[in-house]
Amino acid sequence: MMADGRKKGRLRFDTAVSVLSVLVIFAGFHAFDGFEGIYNLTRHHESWELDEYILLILALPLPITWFAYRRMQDTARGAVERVELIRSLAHSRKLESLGTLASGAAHELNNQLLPVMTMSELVRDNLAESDPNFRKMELVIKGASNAKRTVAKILKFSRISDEGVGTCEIGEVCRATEDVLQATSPTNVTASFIIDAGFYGHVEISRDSLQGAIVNLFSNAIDALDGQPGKISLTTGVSVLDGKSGEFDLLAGTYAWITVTDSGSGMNESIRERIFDPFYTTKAPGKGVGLGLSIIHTTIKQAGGDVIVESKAGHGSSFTIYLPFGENDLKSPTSKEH
Amino acid sequence: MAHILLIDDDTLALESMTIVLEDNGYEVSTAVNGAIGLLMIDMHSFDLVITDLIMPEKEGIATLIEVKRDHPALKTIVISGGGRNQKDLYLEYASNLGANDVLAKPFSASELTTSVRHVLAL
Repeated sequence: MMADGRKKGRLRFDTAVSVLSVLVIFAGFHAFDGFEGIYNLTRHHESWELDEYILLILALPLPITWFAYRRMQDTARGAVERVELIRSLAHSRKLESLGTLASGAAHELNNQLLPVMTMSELVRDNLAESDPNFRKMELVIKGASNAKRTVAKILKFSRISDEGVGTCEIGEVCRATEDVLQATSPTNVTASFIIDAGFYGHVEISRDSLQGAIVNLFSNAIDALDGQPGKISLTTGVSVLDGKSGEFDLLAGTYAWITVTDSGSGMNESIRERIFDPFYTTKAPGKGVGLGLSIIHTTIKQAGGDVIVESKAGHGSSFTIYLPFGENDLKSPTSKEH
Repeated sequence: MAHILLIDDDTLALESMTIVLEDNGYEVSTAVNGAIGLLMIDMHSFDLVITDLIMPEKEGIATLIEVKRDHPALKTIVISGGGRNQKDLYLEYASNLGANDVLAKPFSASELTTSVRHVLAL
């Protein structure tokens, strides 16, 4: 979208050209006796038929119409871009407000959890293990510990701007994470990992954040299988994006991608559209607060990348992380064009 | 036994920490903000000050700076419930400013007593 200064400049230029054109045409007709010339032209070309005159008359508005149509398109495109920009700005402000709210709420919750944790521990320590209230106090302590972890996730979401910063080698992170995921996959899940030996390059995200993102996607994939036998795959590669595809909110460049695919229940469109919203979850109460994907999405975006989800109800889901390479890095031989 | 001053604007937290510390034999005094805490430090002798970071009427960082300036030998533990803004690194700041230990809320009774024993032994 053009800046105001540039728009004013174009308007001044267009006005100047228009005024100058009128003056030139007037001066030209006057200097060269233009109307006399047109008359003589028509006399010299008396053999012209009416349709030729009409075609000549009709031809003139064509470039004018084409020019006007193109300008209307530019204006319409600018209006659409402006709406998208306003929507994006509103979403960013909403996230910022949410982050501030989450941070404040987390602070207060941590304060309120202090007496719960300390007093329940004191009461439990004064009870014999055989006392029936001993187990009850243990449950209170466990609940408070779980609440503490949830609050820590909320605080992490509100602090994402600091924690994702760093650089790591994406191939090394993927291979290291593969070992962890292989060891922790359920026995009824067939997990496959396709990481090309030449998959290498540095990306602008901390190692912990990238590894956390991959683990979180894999964990979501396991949840999507809902305890049933199924397949999860992790694949990697490199793509050159032209920055024009509407599917990607990315600049032109070379990107590393990591895709986690599951054979689970998939998502319908309404769920897919909200999947990255903070505190949105399809899990049962107590199974998650809905911050994992939101944290991943925000962290990857801050690193200059994006997360794309492809899913259809009943047909599984694919989550792909795109991250731009640094300028001096070698690229995997599995490059493909988009 | 050691005399500990607790500074926290949250009365539930103050009472909980008081109970834990008194159960372990410490003498405990309390203040609901940094300004009152500094007055009490000037009037009484304390072995340890445990202060929350985010409070009205003089924030914990300002309180810590004044304690370190006017009573450099006085030991301190700083506690916090987490930041109110996205770039809050108060606990790290407190540590850099010379707090003997830092504790992130919510902590357990045993974590509090372990920290107090450790700092008093320094």
